[in-house]
Amino acid sequence: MRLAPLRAELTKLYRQRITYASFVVVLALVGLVTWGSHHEARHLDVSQRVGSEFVVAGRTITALFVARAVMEVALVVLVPMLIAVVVGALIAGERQNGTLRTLLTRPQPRLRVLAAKLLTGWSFAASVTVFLGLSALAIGQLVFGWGDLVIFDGGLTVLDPHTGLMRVAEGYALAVASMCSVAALALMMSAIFDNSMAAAGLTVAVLIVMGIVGQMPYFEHVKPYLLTAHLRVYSEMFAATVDRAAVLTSAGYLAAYTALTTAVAMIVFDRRDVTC
Amino acid sequence: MAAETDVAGHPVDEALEADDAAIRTRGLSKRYGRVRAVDGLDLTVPRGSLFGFLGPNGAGKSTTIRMLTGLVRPTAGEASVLGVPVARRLTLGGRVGALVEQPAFYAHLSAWQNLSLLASLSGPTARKRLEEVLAVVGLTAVARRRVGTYSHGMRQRLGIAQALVPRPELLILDEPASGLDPEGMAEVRELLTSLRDDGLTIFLSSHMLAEVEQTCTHVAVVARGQVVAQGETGGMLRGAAPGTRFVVDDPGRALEVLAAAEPPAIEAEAVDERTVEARAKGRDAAELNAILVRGGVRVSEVTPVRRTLESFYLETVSNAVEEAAGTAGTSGRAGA
Repeated sequence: MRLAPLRAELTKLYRQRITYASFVVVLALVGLVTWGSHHEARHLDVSQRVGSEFVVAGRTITALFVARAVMEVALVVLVPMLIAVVVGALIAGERQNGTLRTLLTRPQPRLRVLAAKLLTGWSFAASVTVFLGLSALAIGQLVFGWGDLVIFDGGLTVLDPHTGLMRVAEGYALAVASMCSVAALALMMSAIFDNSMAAAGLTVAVLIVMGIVGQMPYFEHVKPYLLTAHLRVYSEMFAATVDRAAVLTSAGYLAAYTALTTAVAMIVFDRRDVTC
Repeated sequence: MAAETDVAGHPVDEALEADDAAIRTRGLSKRYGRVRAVDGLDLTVPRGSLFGFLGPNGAGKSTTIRMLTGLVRPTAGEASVLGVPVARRLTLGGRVGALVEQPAFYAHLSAWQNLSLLASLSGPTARKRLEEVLAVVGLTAVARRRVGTYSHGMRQRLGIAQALVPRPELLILDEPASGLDPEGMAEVRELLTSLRDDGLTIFLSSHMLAEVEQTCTHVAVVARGQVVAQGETGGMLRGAAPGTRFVVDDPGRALEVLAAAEPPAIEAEAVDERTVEARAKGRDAAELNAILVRGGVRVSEVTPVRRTLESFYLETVSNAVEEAAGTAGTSGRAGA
């Protein structure tokens, strides 16, 4: 009975088309990035990237490289947007089509229903992120094969396949945490607004505004406190030397943002009258 | 304590004051900003009754139902369902089933999946029970179809089904026959009557007065957020003074004669250029006819007016609105 709301939410989420459409879009992106990399690989001038004359023997692009590369193109805009659309509908969408009143007349505490929705949102954020990584590894393996992970970080660092795989796994674990904080933000918007598109749009808008503010020198002192400054925490795992302290700090900010947005969602969802 | 009376001054059925009410509200109120959607609503629904909750649009019926089902928090007053305060309604589990306004379901899931999903939130439910309720509402054959493809009537029946799944003791239904064709309405009427016969208490709001008169054992009329009449359906219709129509030679003279009659006072009005309608408590058609004849009015036809729930409802709501307008006018003058 306690887990029934979670089962119900997962059933609803994983039986709707938009969920699977999201996975298809992610897969298509991975395919396009791999295809592009495949062509680019022939012309890749490593010497320009490291800023000096250099000779590289062997493959620079491998499955691990693709898994790393797709993070930069997918986790900045695409995946947060998909999360905003899917999670933004979890409450606002139900309010819009009337099912929220059907749901909340069941003998279940509202906060349990909200917890189920949050866990479902996190499950989507996690599954789409993990799917991104696994599909990149699989397609990268097919096209480029297995091998070292080459990192361009001012200089050039080559990690052996085992270490590279560990870095990719840790990077994706951090990406899951980042995307879960986006899901919590989207759920808060979903609790506040009656329209799922408004919830999704405002989630993306908040991320864009934070991103712009973070780029402006005038707001340099604010930047460390912005969610967007920590969403790319996974990129720390692809430096020559991992700054564990910076990772922990960013993880702390992500947790704080998640806690704050969840608390607001709890207050709104628990107290708000269902009038539509 | 003084006996509670309805707007027409009739005492409320004493059975409604029994302690084992299925629903009881006292001073229940809900404000949205400056708007009073429900304003001190006192309602008692006896267990085992099929209770019609009537009122014009905007009278506060849906808000009351939302407060009873926990969707909306009252601003003031008390409400209890099956003896449990609404604030603790979760302890009732599946003892209450509800359909609030238009039934809404997950369009991408089948009727079976919707029922199964919603039932799981009320407690463990056997597959057989789902089959039973689908059969009761006549949706067995289309149970595997996506609800998105259902007609309005089918959704309405599925709405009743989801409310029935946990075998509730109390069923709260908001316009359950809305949008149904005549056959559908007849089916819902039969279903509700048979459920009532099985011991369920059914509280339903409706605008279909003829249906309510046929099926409901009790009714309450709500206007401007307050209950203005409640009691047993038959008793309320019998308790009100029956009207009589007289076809006369001079309706103006007839009204004068009736107005001048000895107390108890007679209410009379001209219906058309040949007809007046009159009613008075404790006076039957023969007595009213005698008064007219004694006053020199020629009466050529006497017809008793059957009191329907519709006429009772219209009169009650109209009185309540006039009374409220009068009160507002008085307060306006007092304030000036």
